[in-house]
Amino acid sequence: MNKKLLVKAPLVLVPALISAIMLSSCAGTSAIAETLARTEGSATVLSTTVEDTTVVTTTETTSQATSSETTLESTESVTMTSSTTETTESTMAESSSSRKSITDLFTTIDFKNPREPKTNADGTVDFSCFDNCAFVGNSRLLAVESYGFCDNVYAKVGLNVNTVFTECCSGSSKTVINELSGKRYSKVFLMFGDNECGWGSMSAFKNQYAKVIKAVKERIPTAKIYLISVLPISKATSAKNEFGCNKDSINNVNKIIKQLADEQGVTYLNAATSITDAAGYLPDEASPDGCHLGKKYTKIWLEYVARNM
Amino acid sequence: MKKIISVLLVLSLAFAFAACSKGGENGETPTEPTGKVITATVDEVAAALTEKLIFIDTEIEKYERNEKTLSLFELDETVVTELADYKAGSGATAEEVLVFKCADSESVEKVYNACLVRVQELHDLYSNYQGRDTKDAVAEIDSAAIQSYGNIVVFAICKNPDAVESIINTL
Repeated sequence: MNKKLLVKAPLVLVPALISAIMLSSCAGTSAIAETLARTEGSATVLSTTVEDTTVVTTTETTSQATSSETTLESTESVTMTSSTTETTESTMAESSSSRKSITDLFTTIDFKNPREPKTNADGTVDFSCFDNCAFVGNSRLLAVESYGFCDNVYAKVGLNVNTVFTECCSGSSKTVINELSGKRYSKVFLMFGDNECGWGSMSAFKNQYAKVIKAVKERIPTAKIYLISVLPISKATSAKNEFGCNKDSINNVNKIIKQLADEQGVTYLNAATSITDAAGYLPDEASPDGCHLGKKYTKIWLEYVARNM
Repeated sequence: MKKIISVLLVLSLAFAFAACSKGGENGETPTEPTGKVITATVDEVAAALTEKLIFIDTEIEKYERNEKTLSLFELDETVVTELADYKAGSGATAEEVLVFKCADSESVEKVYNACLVRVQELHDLYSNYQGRDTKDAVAEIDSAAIQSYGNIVVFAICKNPDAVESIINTL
Protein backbone atom coordinates (compact mmCIF):
# COMPACT_ATOMS: atom_id res chain seq x y z
CA MET A 1 0.00 0.00 0.00
CA ASN A 2 1.05 3.49 -0.75
CA LYS A 3 2.95 5.00 2.23
CA LYS A 4 1.45 8.40 1.60
CA LEU A 5 -1.99 6.91 1.86
CA LEU A 6 -1.22 5.21 5.15
CA VAL A 7 -0.11 8.49 6.67
CA LYS A 8 -3.10 10.49 5.48
CA ALA A 9 -5.83 7.94 6.19
CA PRO A 10 -6.14 8.68 9.91
CA LEU A 11 -6.48 12.40 9.19
CA VAL A 12 -9.79 11.76 7.45
CA LEU A 13 -11.00 8.69 9.28
CA VAL A 14 -10.55 9.93 12.84
CA PRO A 15 -12.89 12.95 12.54
CA ALA A 16 -15.34 10.81 10.62
CA LEU A 17 -15.42 8.19 13.37
CA ILE A 18 -15.76 10.81 16.12
CA SER A 19 -18.71 12.36 14.28
CA ALA A 20 -20.31 8.97 13.81
CA ILE A 21 -19.99 8.07 17.49
CA MET A 22 -21.41 11.43 18.55
CA LEU A 23 -24.42 11.00 16.28
CA SER A 24 -25.04 7.49 17.56
CA SER A 25 -25.21 8.77 21.12
CA CYS A 26 -28.12 11.10 20.60
CA ALA A 27 -31.64 9.83 21.17
CA GLY A 28 -34.94 10.20 19.31
CA THR A 29 -34.13 9.94 15.67
CA SER A 30 -37.33 11.41 14.31
CA ALA A 31 -36.90 14.35 16.63
CA ILE A 32 -33.42 14.86 15.31
CA ALA A 33 -34.76 14.77 11.81
CA GLU A 34 -37.24 17.48 12.73
CA THR A 35 -34.55 19.53 14.40
CA LEU A 36 -32.41 19.16 11.34
CA ALA A 37 -35.23 20.12 9.05
CA ARG A 38 -35.78 23.24 11.12
CA THR A 39 -32.18 24.26 10.74
CA GLU A 40 -31.32 25.69 7.36
CA GLY A 41 -27.62 24.96 7.62
CA SER A 42 -28.11 21.31 8.36
CA ALA A 43 -30.70 20.69 5.69
CA THR A 44 -28.03 19.60 3.25
CA VAL A 45 -26.86 16.89 5.59
CA LEU A 46 -30.24 15.32 6.16
CA SER A 47 -30.81 12.75 3.48
CA THR A 48 -33.49 10.25 4.43
CA THR A 49 -36.12 9.85 7.07
CA VAL A 50 -38.09 6.65 7.04
CA GLU A 51 -40.52 6.30 9.89
CA ASP A 52 -38.31 6.36 12.95
CA THR A 53 -35.09 5.64 11.17
CA THR A 54 -32.84 8.47 10.23
CA VAL A 55 -29.90 7.92 7.99
CA VAL A 56 -27.40 10.68 7.71
CA THR A 57 -24.83 10.09 5.04
CA THR A 58 -21.81 12.17 4.32
CA THR A 59 -19.60 10.94 1.50
CA GLU A 60 -16.12 12.16 1.04
CA THR A 61 -14.60 11.85 -2.40
CA THR A 62 -13.86 8.31 -3.41
CA SER A 63 -11.49 7.67 -6.24
CA GLN A 64 -10.14 4.21 -5.55
CA ALA A 65 -11.19 1.11 -3.76
CA THR A 66 -10.23 1.50 -0.10
CA SER A 67 -13.26 2.45 1.92
CA SER A 68 -14.00 2.51 5.56
CA GLU A 69 -17.62 2.27 6.62
CA THR A 70 -19.01 2.68 10.07
CA THR A 71 -22.59 1.74 10.83
CA LEU A 72 -23.96 2.40 14.27
CA GLU A 73 -27.18 0.88 15.59
CA SER A 74 -29.95 -0.23 13.30
CA THR A 75 -32.19 2.76 13.89
CA GLU A 76 -29.57 5.45 13.48
CA SER A 77 -26.86 4.71 11.06
CA VAL A 78 -24.28 7.21 10.10
CA THR A 79 -22.27 6.15 7.10
CA MET A 80 -19.07 7.96 6.42
CA THR A 81 -17.34 6.58 3.36
CA SER A 82 -13.89 7.88 2.78
CA SER A 83 -11.07 7.07 0.55
CA THR A 84 -7.69 8.50 0.82
CA THR A 85 -5.92 7.99 -2.43
CA GLU A 86 -4.55 11.06 -4.16
CA THR A 87 -6.33 13.49 -1.89
CA THR A 88 -6.25 16.85 -3.59
CA GLU A 89 -6.62 20.28 -2.03
CA SER A 90 -10.17 20.57 -3.34
CA THR A 91 -11.29 17.33 -1.74
CA MET A 92 -9.73 18.45 1.53
CA ALA A 93 -11.81 21.59 1.31
CA GLU A 94 -14.94 19.54 0.67
CA SER A 95 -14.31 17.26 3.62
CA SER A 96 -13.66 20.28 5.78
CA SER A 97 -16.99 21.79 4.82
CA SER A 98 -18.76 18.48 5.52
CA ARG A 99 -17.22 18.37 8.97
CA LYS A 100 -18.27 21.98 9.49
CA SER A 101 -21.90 21.24 8.65
CA ILE A 102 -21.88 18.33 11.11
CA THR A 103 -20.45 20.63 13.76
CA ASP A 104 -23.20 23.16 13.05
CA LEU A 105 -25.72 20.37 13.34
CA PHE A 106 -24.57 19.39 16.83
CA THR A 107 -24.86 22.93 18.10
CA THR A 108 -28.55 22.98 17.12
CA ILE A 109 -29.58 19.77 18.83
CA ASP A 110 -30.56 19.61 22.46
CA PHE A 111 -29.20 16.16 23.26
CA LYS A 112 -31.09 15.89 26.55
CA ASN A 113 -34.47 16.32 24.88
CA PRO A 114 -34.40 16.81 21.14
CA ARG A 115 -38.12 17.65 21.00
CA GLU A 116 -37.82 20.59 23.38
CA PRO A 117 -38.03 23.94 21.60
CA LYS A 118 -35.30 26.50 22.14
CA THR A 119 -35.73 28.51 25.30
CA ASN A 120 -34.87 32.05 26.27
CA ALA A 121 -32.56 32.95 29.14
CA ASP A 122 -35.55 33.07 31.51
CA GLY A 123 -36.58 29.52 30.57
CA THR A 124 -39.59 30.55 28.49
CA VAL A 125 -40.04 29.13 25.02
CA ASP A 126 -38.44 30.97 22.15
CA PHE A 127 -41.38 31.41 19.81
CA SER A 128 -39.12 31.65 16.79
CA CYS A 129 -40.05 27.95 16.53
CA PHE A 130 -43.25 29.25 14.90
CA ASP A 131 -41.44 31.24 12.22
CA ASN A 132 -42.22 28.65 9.58
CA CYS A 133 -45.72 27.90 10.86
CA ALA A 134 -49.15 29.37 10.23
CA PHE A 135 -52.16 29.71 12.50
CA VAL A 136 -55.60 29.77 10.90
CA GLY A 137 -58.84 30.25 12.77
CA ASN A 138 -61.13 32.41 14.82
CA SER A 139 -60.64 35.57 16.87
CA ARG A 140 -58.93 33.77 19.74
CA LEU A 141 -55.89 33.52 17.48
CA LEU A 142 -55.68 37.29 16.99
CA ALA A 143 -53.77 37.56 20.27
CA VAL A 144 -51.01 35.31 18.90
CA GLU A 145 -50.21 37.95 16.30
CA SER A 146 -51.06 41.07 18.32
CA TYR A 147 -48.76 40.13 21.18
CA GLY A 148 -45.99 39.41 18.69
CA PHE A 149 -45.67 35.64 19.22
CA CYS A 150 -46.09 34.71 15.55
CA ASP A 151 -46.56 36.82 12.45
CA ASN A 152 -48.27 34.23 10.29
CA VAL A 153 -51.75 34.37 11.74
CA TYR A 154 -54.80 34.26 9.48
CA ALA A 155 -57.71 34.88 11.79
CA LYS A 156 -60.83 36.94 11.99
CA VAL A 157 -63.53 37.82 14.47
CA GLY A 158 -66.39 35.32 14.15
CA LEU A 159 -64.62 33.08 11.64
CA ASN A 160 -65.88 29.50 11.38
CA VAL A 161 -65.34 26.42 9.22
CA ASN A 162 -67.74 27.80 6.62
CA THR A 163 -66.64 31.42 6.43
CA VAL A 164 -62.94 30.50 6.23
CA PHE A 165 -63.71 29.86 2.54
CA THR A 166 -65.55 33.12 1.94
CA GLU A 167 -64.24 35.85 4.23
CA CYS A 168 -61.00 37.78 4.09
CA CYS A 169 -58.67 38.86 6.85
CA SER A 170 -58.77 42.62 7.53
CA GLY A 171 -56.70 44.46 4.96
CA SER A 172 -56.55 41.52 2.56
CA SER A 173 -58.47 40.68 -0.59
CA LYS A 174 -57.80 36.93 -0.34
CA THR A 175 -60.15 34.57 1.46
CA VAL A 176 -58.66 33.30 4.70
CA ILE A 177 -58.07 29.80 3.32
CA ASN A 178 -56.40 31.19 0.21
CA GLU A 179 -53.88 33.05 2.35
CA LEU A 180 -52.10 29.68 2.48
CA SER A 181 -51.84 29.33 -1.29
CA GLY A 182 -48.28 29.52 -2.53
CA LYS A 183 -46.87 29.50 1.01
CA ARG A 184 -44.46 26.85 2.28
CA TYR A 185 -45.22 26.58 5.96
CA SER A 186 -43.98 23.39 7.56
CA LYS A 187 -46.83 23.31 10.07
CA VAL A 188 -50.35 24.67 9.97
CA PHE A 189 -52.34 25.02 13.19
CA LEU A 190 -56.11 25.21 12.82
CA MET A 191 -58.32 26.60 15.56
CA PHE A 192 -62.04 26.25 14.97
CA GLY A 193 -64.98 25.19 17.08
CA ASP A 194 -65.62 28.21 19.30
CA ASN A 195 -68.05 29.81 16.88
CA GLU A 196 -69.57 26.46 16.01
CA CYS A 197 -70.39 25.31 19.55
CA GLY A 198 -73.99 26.29 19.10
CA TRP A 199 -74.52 24.62 15.76
CA GLY A 200 -77.43 22.26 15.81
CA SER A 201 -75.51 19.54 14.02
CA MET A 202 -72.08 18.48 15.16
CA SER A 203 -71.81 16.21 12.14
CA ALA A 204 -72.17 19.29 9.91
CA PHE A 205 -69.29 20.89 11.85
CA LYS A 206 -67.19 17.76 11.52
CA ASN A 207 -67.82 17.40 7.78
CA GLN A 208 -67.09 21.03 7.11
CA TYR A 209 -63.93 20.97 9.28
CA ALA A 210 -62.79 17.96 7.21
CA LYS A 211 -63.17 20.16 4.12
CA VAL A 212 -60.97 22.79 5.73
CA ILE A 213 -58.28 20.17 6.40
CA LYS A 214 -58.53 19.00 2.80
CA ALA A 215 -58.22 22.57 1.55
CA VAL A 216 -55.10 23.11 3.65
CA LYS A 217 -53.57 19.87 2.31
CA GLU A 218 -54.31 21.00 -1.25
CA ARG A 219 -52.62 24.33 -0.69
CA ILE A 220 -49.60 23.08 1.24
CA PRO A 221 -49.30 19.31 0.70
CA THR A 222 -46.10 19.05 2.73
CA ALA A 223 -47.36 20.84 5.82
CA LYS A 224 -48.05 18.95 9.01
CA ILE A 225 -51.55 19.86 10.18
CA TYR A 226 -52.59 20.29 13.80
CA LEU A 227 -56.09 20.79 15.17
CA ILE A 228 -55.97 22.84 18.34
CA SER A 229 -58.70 22.12 20.86
CA VAL A 230 -61.26 24.78 21.70
CA LEU A 231 -59.85 26.67 24.66
CA PRO A 232 -61.92 26.96 27.83
CA ILE A 233 -64.09 29.95 28.77
CA SER A 234 -64.63 31.45 32.20
CA LYS A 235 -67.37 30.26 34.52
CA ALA A 236 -69.31 33.52 34.11
CA THR A 237 -69.08 33.39 30.31
CA SER A 238 -70.09 29.75 30.31
CA ALA A 239 -73.17 30.66 32.37
CA LYS A 240 -74.17 33.24 29.72
CA ASN A 241 -74.32 30.38 27.20
CA GLU A 242 -73.89 32.82 24.31
CA PHE A 243 -74.75 31.04 21.08
CA GLY A 244 -74.76 27.72 22.90
CA CYS A 245 -71.15 28.08 23.99
CA ASN A 246 -70.55 26.71 27.47
CA LYS A 247 -68.21 24.33 29.26
CA ASP A 248 -70.12 21.20 28.24
CA SER A 249 -70.58 22.16 24.60
CA ILE A 250 -66.85 22.98 24.38
CA ASN A 251 -65.97 19.56 25.79
CA ASN A 252 -68.33 17.99 23.28
CA VAL A 253 -66.82 19.92 20.36
CA ASN A 254 -63.33 18.92 21.48
CA LYS A 255 -64.31 15.24 21.40
CA ILE A 256 -65.48 15.73 17.81
CA ILE A 257 -62.25 17.54 16.88
CA LYS A 258 -60.13 14.76 18.35
CA GLN A 259 -62.16 12.15 16.48
CA LEU A 260 -61.77 14.12 13.26
CA ALA A 261 -58.01 14.42 13.75
CA ASP A 262 -57.73 10.65 14.16
CA GLU A 263 -59.82 10.02 11.07
CA GLN A 264 -57.93 12.54 8.95
CA GLY A 265 -54.47 11.49 10.10
CA VAL A 266 -53.65 14.90 11.50
CA THR A 267 -52.55 15.78 15.02
CA TYR A 268 -54.91 16.88 17.78
CA LEU A 269 -53.33 19.26 20.30
CA ASN A 270 -55.27 19.58 23.52
CA ALA A 271 -53.89 23.01 24.37
CA ALA A 272 -56.98 23.65 26.49
CA THR A 273 -55.48 21.51 29.26
CA SER A 274 -52.73 24.07 29.77
CA ILE A 275 -55.14 26.85 30.80
CA THR A 276 -58.11 25.02 32.32
CA ASP A 277 -58.65 25.23 36.08
CA ALA A 278 -59.68 22.35 38.31
CA ALA A 279 -63.37 23.08 37.74
CA GLY A 280 -62.95 23.01 33.98
CA TYR A 281 -63.05 26.75 33.34
CA LEU A 282 -60.73 29.48 32.16
CA PRO A 283 -59.46 31.44 35.18
CA ASP A 284 -61.10 34.89 35.42
CA GLU A 285 -57.76 36.67 35.32
CA ALA A 286 -56.99 35.16 31.92
CA SER A 287 -59.28 37.29 29.82
CA PRO A 288 -61.13 40.62 29.72
CA ASP A 289 -64.31 38.95 28.46
CA GLY A 290 -63.94 35.40 29.76
CA CYS A 291 -63.05 34.15 26.30
CA HIS A 292 -60.31 36.09 24.47
CA LEU A 293 -57.02 35.61 26.24
CA GLY A 294 -54.61 38.20 27.52
CA LYS A 295 -50.89 37.97 26.96
CA LYS A 296 -50.00 35.72 29.90
CA TYR A 297 -52.45 32.97 29.05
CA THR A 298 -51.87 33.24 25.32
CA LYS A 299 -48.24 32.55 26.06
CA ILE A 300 -49.11 29.55 28.23
CA TRP A 301 -51.13 27.71 25.60
CA LEU A 302 -48.65 28.62 22.89
CA GLU A 303 -45.87 27.14 24.99
CA TYR A 304 -47.95 23.97 25.22
CA VAL A 305 -48.20 23.91 21.43
CA ALA A 306 -44.48 24.57 21.01
CA ARG A 307 -43.57 21.73 23.36
CA ASN A 308 -45.97 19.26 21.79
CA MET A 309 -45.75 19.94 18.07
CA MET B 1 -66.67 100.99 16.68
CA LYS B 2 -65.88 99.26 13.37
CA LYS B 3 -62.52 98.20 14.77
CA ILE B 4 -64.18 96.64 17.80
CA ILE B 5 -66.65 94.73 15.59
CA SER B 6 -63.88 93.43 13.34
CA VAL B 7 -61.84 92.34 16.36
CA LEU B 8 -64.90 90.57 17.75
CA LEU B 9 -65.47 88.88 14.38
CA VAL B 10 -61.89 87.64 14.23
CA LEU B 11 -62.13 86.36 17.79
CA SER B 12 -65.42 84.59 17.12
CA LEU B 13 -63.90 82.92 14.04
CA ALA B 14 -60.92 81.81 16.08
CA PHE B 15 -63.22 80.29 18.72
CA ALA B 16 -65.24 78.60 16.01
CA PHE B 17 -62.11 76.91 14.62
CA ALA B 18 -61.10 75.80 18.09
CA ALA B 19 -64.53 74.28 18.70
CA CYS B 20 -64.37 72.37 15.39
CA SER B 21 -61.21 70.59 16.45
CA LYS B 22 -63.06 68.52 19.04
CA GLY B 23 -64.20 66.35 16.12
CA GLY B 24 -64.59 62.65 16.53
CA GLU B 25 -68.11 62.32 15.19
CA ASN B 26 -68.42 59.90 12.31
CA GLY B 27 -69.02 61.48 8.95
CA GLU B 28 -67.27 64.76 9.75
CA THR B 29 -64.65 66.14 7.45
CA PRO B 30 -61.15 66.73 8.79
CA THR B 31 -61.21 69.34 11.50
CA GLU B 32 -59.11 72.45 11.58
CA PRO B 33 -56.27 72.31 14.04
CA THR B 34 -56.84 73.89 17.42
CA GLY B 35 -53.64 75.80 17.18
CA LYS B 36 -52.26 73.32 19.66
CA VAL B 37 -48.82 72.34 18.44
CA ILE B 38 -47.80 68.89 19.49
CA THR B 39 -44.08 68.83 20.13
CA ALA B 40 -44.06 65.35 21.62
CA THR B 41 -43.23 62.37 19.41
CA VAL B 42 -46.02 60.14 18.11
CA ASP B 43 -44.90 57.50 20.58
CA GLU B 44 -45.08 59.88 23.51
CA VAL B 45 -48.55 61.02 22.48
CA ALA B 46 -49.79 57.44 22.04
CA ALA B 47 -48.23 56.32 25.33
CA ALA B 48 -49.81 59.24 27.22
CA LEU B 49 -53.23 58.52 25.73
CA THR B 50 -52.91 54.80 26.45
CA GLU B 51 -52.02 55.53 30.04
CA LYS B 52 -54.83 58.00 30.69
CA LEU B 53 -57.74 56.76 28.60
CA ILE B 54 -60.05 54.07 29.97
CA PHE B 55 -60.32 50.67 28.30
CA ILE B 56 -62.36 47.50 28.79
CA ASP B 57 -59.24 45.46 28.04
CA THR B 58 -56.58 46.59 30.46
CA GLU B 59 -53.74 45.07 28.46
CA ILE B 60 -53.06 47.70 25.83
CA GLU B 61 -49.63 47.19 24.33
CA LYS B 62 -47.51 48.73 21.67
CA TYR B 63 -47.99 46.97 18.35
CA GLU B 64 -44.77 47.00 16.39
CA ARG B 65 -45.94 46.02 12.94
CA ASN B 66 -46.59 49.45 11.45
CA GLU B 67 -46.66 48.13 7.89
CA LYS B 68 -49.56 45.89 8.76
CA THR B 69 -51.39 48.69 10.54
CA LEU B 70 -50.97 50.96 7.54
CA SER B 71 -52.26 48.24 5.22
CA LEU B 72 -55.39 47.90 7.40
CA PHE B 73 -56.01 51.59 6.80
CA GLU B 74 -54.94 51.33 3.16
CA LEU B 75 -52.25 53.91 3.76
CA ASP B 76 -48.51 53.94 3.11
CA GLU B 77 -45.31 55.71 4.13
CA THR B 78 -45.76 58.47 1.58
CA VAL B 79 -48.84 59.59 3.51
CA VAL B 80 -47.86 58.63 7.06
CA THR B 81 -44.28 59.43 7.96
CA GLU B 82 -44.47 58.22 11.58
CA LEU B 83 -46.91 56.00 13.40
CA ALA B 84 -47.47 54.77 16.93
CA ASP B 85 -49.99 52.00 17.50
CA TYR B 86 -51.12 50.71 20.87
CA LYS B 87 -53.85 48.10 20.90
CA ALA B 88 -55.72 45.54 22.94
CA GLY B 89 -54.09 42.29 21.96
CA SER B 90 -56.73 39.84 23.15
CA GLY B 91 -59.22 40.56 20.37
CA ALA B 92 -62.06 40.87 22.88
CA THR B 93 -62.52 44.50 21.81
CA ALA B 94 -61.34 46.77 19.01
CA GLU B 95 -59.66 49.11 21.49
CA GLU B 96 -56.74 50.92 19.99
CA VAL B 97 -54.81 54.20 20.11
CA LEU B 98 -53.17 55.32 16.91
CA VAL B 99 -51.14 58.46 16.37
CA PHE B 100 -50.30 59.25 12.76
CA LYS B 101 -47.80 61.88 11.69
CA CYS B 102 -48.84 62.86 8.20
CA ALA B 103 -46.65 64.06 5.36
CA ASP B 104 -48.72 67.19 4.69
CA SER B 105 -52.20 68.67 5.05
CA GLU B 106 -53.49 66.64 2.11
CA SER B 107 -52.28 63.50 3.85
CA VAL B 108 -54.13 64.55 6.99
CA GLU B 109 -57.36 64.39 5.05
CA LYS B 110 -56.48 60.96 3.63
CA VAL B 111 -55.69 59.60 7.08
CA TYR B 112 -58.84 61.09 8.54
CA ASN B 113 -60.98 59.48 5.86
CA ALA B 114 -59.13 56.16 6.29
CA CYS B 115 -60.00 56.29 9.99
CA LEU B 116 -63.67 56.78 9.15
CA VAL B 117 -63.59 53.76 6.84
CA ARG B 118 -61.85 51.70 9.52
CA VAL B 119 -64.51 52.63 12.06
CA GLN B 120 -67.21 51.38 9.68
CA GLU B 121 -65.30 48.12 9.07
CA LEU B 122 -64.88 47.49 12.76
CA HIS B 123 -68.51 48.34 13.41
CA ASP B 124 -69.61 45.76 10.83
CA LEU B 125 -67.18 43.17 12.14
CA TYR B 126 -68.14 43.41 15.79
CA SER B 127 -71.86 43.97 15.34
CA ASN B 128 -72.08 40.81 13.19
CA TYR B 129 -70.22 38.70 15.71
CA GLN B 130 -72.64 35.79 15.81
CA GLY B 131 -74.31 35.24 19.10
CA ARG B 132 -71.74 37.15 21.14
CA ASP B 133 -72.53 40.09 23.34
CA THR B 134 -70.43 42.78 21.71
CA LYS B 135 -72.59 45.82 22.45
CA ASP B 136 -69.90 47.46 24.62
CA ALA B 137 -67.26 46.90 21.97
CA VAL B 138 -69.54 48.25 19.24
CA ALA B 139 -70.47 51.32 21.34
CA GLU B 140 -66.78 52.12 21.73
CA ILE B 141 -66.19 51.76 18.00
CA ASP B 142 -69.10 54.04 17.16
CA SER B 143 -67.83 56.79 19.44
CA ALA B 144 -64.20 56.57 18.28
CA ALA B 145 -62.22 59.80 18.54
CA ILE B 146 -60.65 61.00 15.30
CA GLN B 147 -58.90 64.33 15.78
CA SER B 148 -56.25 66.29 13.95
CA TYR B 149 -53.61 68.59 15.41
CA GLY B 150 -51.57 70.10 12.61
CA ASN B 151 -50.08 67.14 10.77
CA ILE B 152 -50.90 64.74 13.59
CA VAL B 153 -54.06 62.63 13.50
CA VAL B 154 -55.18 60.82 16.64
CA PHE B 155 -57.50 57.81 16.45
CA ALA B 156 -58.73 56.27 19.68
CA ILE B 157 -61.24 53.55 20.47
CA CYS B 158 -61.82 53.51 24.20
CA LYS B 159 -64.48 54.06 26.84
CA ASN B 160 -63.92 57.81 27.20
CA PRO B 161 -62.98 59.28 23.79
CA ASP B 162 -64.00 62.76 25.00
CA ALA B 163 -60.90 62.79 27.18
CA VAL B 164 -58.54 62.69 24.21
CA GLU B 165 -58.38 66.45 23.71
CA SER B 166 -57.74 67.26 27.34
CA ILE B 167 -54.95 64.70 27.47
CA ILE B 168 -53.40 66.13 24.30
CA ASN B 169 -53.54 69.59 25.84
CA THR B 170 -51.40 68.46 28.73
CA LEU B 171 -48.59 67.43 26.40
